[in-house]
Amino acid sequence: MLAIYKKELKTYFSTMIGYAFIAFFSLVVGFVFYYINVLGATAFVGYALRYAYIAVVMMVLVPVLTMKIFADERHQKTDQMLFTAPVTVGRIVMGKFMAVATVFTIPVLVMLTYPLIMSDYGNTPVAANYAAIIGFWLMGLALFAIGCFVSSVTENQIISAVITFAILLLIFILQYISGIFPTGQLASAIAICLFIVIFALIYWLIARKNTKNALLYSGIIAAAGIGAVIILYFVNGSMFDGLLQNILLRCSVYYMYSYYFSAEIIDIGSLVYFVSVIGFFLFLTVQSVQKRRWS
Amino acid sequence: MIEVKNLVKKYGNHVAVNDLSFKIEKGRIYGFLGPNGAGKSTTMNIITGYLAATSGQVIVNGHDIYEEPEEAKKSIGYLPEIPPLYMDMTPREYLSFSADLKGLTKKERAGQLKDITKLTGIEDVMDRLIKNLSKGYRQRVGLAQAILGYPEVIILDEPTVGLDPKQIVEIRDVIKGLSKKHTVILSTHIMQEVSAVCDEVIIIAHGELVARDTPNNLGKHVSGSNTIEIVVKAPDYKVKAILNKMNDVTKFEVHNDAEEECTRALVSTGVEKDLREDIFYAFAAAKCPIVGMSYSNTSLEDVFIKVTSGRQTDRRN
Repeated sequence: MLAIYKKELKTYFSTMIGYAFIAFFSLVVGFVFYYINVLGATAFVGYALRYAYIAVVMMVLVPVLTMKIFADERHQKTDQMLFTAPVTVGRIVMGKFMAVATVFTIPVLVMLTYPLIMSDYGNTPVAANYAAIIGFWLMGLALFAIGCFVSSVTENQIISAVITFAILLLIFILQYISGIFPTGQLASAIAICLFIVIFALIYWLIARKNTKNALLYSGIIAAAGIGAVIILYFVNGSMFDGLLQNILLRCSVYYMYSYYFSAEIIDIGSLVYFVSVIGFFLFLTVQSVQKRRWS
Repeated sequence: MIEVKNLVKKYGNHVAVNDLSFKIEKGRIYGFLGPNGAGKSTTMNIITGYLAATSGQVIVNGHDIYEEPEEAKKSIGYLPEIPPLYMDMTPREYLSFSADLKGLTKKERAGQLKDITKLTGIEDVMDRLIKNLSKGYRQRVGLAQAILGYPEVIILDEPTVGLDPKQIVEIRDVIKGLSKKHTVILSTHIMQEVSAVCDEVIIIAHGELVARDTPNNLGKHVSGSNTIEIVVKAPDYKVKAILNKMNDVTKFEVHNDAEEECTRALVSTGVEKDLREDIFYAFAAAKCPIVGMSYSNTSLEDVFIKVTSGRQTDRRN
């Protein structure tokens, strides 16, 4: 794992890309910090970090850093060396993710000075400020984990970058467009049923070749899920109030950040949320790499 | 050393490897032959753990490649068809990375790097970027990477492609030298390479094993592998009659295109027996003088073409 970590880190800094990312990202964050916290005279750094500017810049920079991670290895056939070496796929993925995380962590370390700068001018919520920065760091890592996964799906860097950008854009605008979805109880319940059917369908598509009775299982999943939704709907209909919108909002990593860190509090729940997103996408990355060996 | 059992690999409906089984013994050089698309690279990729088989088993040094991949991979060094090189690295950086990946200690690494770069002849290019190296040097860097760590089995997929004749000879010598301590499996298209380097040949076609033997014995797998050409001063019906009576003749062809009053015949026999004397006495007894006779052992190329083309030619015309 250390070998891959070192090699990846070296690649970021033997080309311009690592320096360019750090410089540009620090510049943007610094500018927004100056604009919101210094000129706007607010003491909470979270107001700056949840600013849409930063989200948009991340949307562009994350794909640039992650597009190569697996796609290029595959394209250059160097993955044959990695996957025939006595190292597990999990460690390869971890090594690569930690390298990109390190590059991202450097500008975040610069951010750690912001609360100190502010505290020079008066009373500032120090703990909340650092919590907001740590939260921002985890949110960024979650975005990088998504990029990592997308890169493992394709062989083409450009496609990888474009898809990553599209996904990040989608989860960015999700927080604004979630309002157009219906909030009624029945509508939410139907939407949930639809999700369950889609899930069952996906399960069938994946499992039909390797599992006997895949159709039966997916039928059971669909029937049980829909049954549960119907029962819940009649027992406690109020829990479906605005559920669809809530689920969509929860899918938006940016929204989760601005929602939880807009107040000057340390929110353990959102930290868990970001760590789960990171874990989930790294797990998917390992699976996607493993799956390629079987197809 | 390596045991492959009932290996099957399917890509959708296409069967790349079909029920392949073989064993590889220690300390020998194996040649892996087959026409394009026969499944050579796929088989090698499965043995090294890069691809997973649809069914079947690969055991390397007592470790199953699926159940204990790390242990199994430790005893394999692999040079794929396209050397897996990072173009933005120098060979020194690249080989250091490979050594780290294989878990060598610093001390082992320094010693091995020195020996292996000398062995593969890349000392002079160690600090140039790989993207600026010629194909031959890239191939050597790839080979050095496979040898690094001195794994017990070294698998080389077409190691001499793109090298000039002098380099080919050098690389062959390197490979021969490796067989003292390692088991080597190499795939190739080049027949001279097989006879020059390999102790044993495995020929596959359409994903199936069609022949396996030492290069010299391979002729046995083709009917009429030894051909004797004779020119007899006699009409063709007489020659046919005499040859038909001989039990050891497996196949013959008679042509009337030789000099006047003569018949030319191509006689095929099993590999074990040299029929030249028998033929001489048979024709002498019939008072048909043999005016010319020549002997040719079937070349490896012929064997390759015959065993891989699916069905063997008829025994008699």
